[in-house]
Amino acid sequence: MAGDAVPQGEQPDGDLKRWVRAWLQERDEAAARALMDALYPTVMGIIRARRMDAAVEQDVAQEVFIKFFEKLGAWRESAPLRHWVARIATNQCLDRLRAAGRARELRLADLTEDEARALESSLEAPERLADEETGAVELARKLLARLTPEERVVIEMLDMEGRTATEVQRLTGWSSVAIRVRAFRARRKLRQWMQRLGDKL
Amino acid sequence: MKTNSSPWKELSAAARRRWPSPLPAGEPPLGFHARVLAHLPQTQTVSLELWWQMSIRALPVAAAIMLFCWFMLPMGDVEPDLAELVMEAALP
Repeated sequence: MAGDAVPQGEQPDGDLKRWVRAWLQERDEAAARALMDALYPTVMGIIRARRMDAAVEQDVAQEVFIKFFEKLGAWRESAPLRHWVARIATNQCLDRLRAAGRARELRLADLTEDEARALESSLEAPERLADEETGAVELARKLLARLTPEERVVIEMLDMEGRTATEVQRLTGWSSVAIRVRAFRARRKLRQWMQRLGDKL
Repeated sequence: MKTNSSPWKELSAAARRRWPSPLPAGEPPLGFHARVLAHLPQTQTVSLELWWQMSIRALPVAAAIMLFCWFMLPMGDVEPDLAELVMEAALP
């Protein structure tokens, strides 16, 4: 899978649980540091998948770990810790996206030549898209930036990163119905925007 | 213009092939742990500080209630006894 943000098996779960107990019971800072070292790749993978500004990435990671330690008392050992922190990271990214707001409506004048060609090929001759992947990536990014943060995250995970609905459910904590509804609405919007732009080509 | 039934599907399929994978993240940068840990004692002591402040503020109130009880409530019982003792001591 492209950009798997939740690498499995890097650190045995037993170690993670031992560090969690050491932090919760003794406020052992060495255990907290070990937890951050072990979970950092998972957290950063999720943040970078949302393609945030490099300057913001570290701030978001810091916020994620602060929330993680604040909520750690509520974590149940039956749930995998990596999934739990992944959900916190995803929701923190969503908060950031909500705060940043959506981009304004996309106009034909906003597209580069490559993007306009990719749009035309998508609408008329999809077989030509194989030679226009760069323009396709940029056009997809511009279109995704116009969606709501929730829709954008769902579509990025499903359509661009190739995740399954179950994975999206695990990462966001949303129900499968909510995910399907968001994906449906988002794809309908994207299709309409593309057709509207295509009419002006 | 002829429209495709699912242009997004075509576009996303093409874009996915070049969609950049997130850069691998190895270790937290220098000072990262310290910055996170620095935030934790503050958040954990907020409740303690709150209790401490409330306890300090409650002290004068508690003292006032205690003094009120000390001076007002026992007056009815103690005063006659004291007066009695004084009278007994003063009068042969």
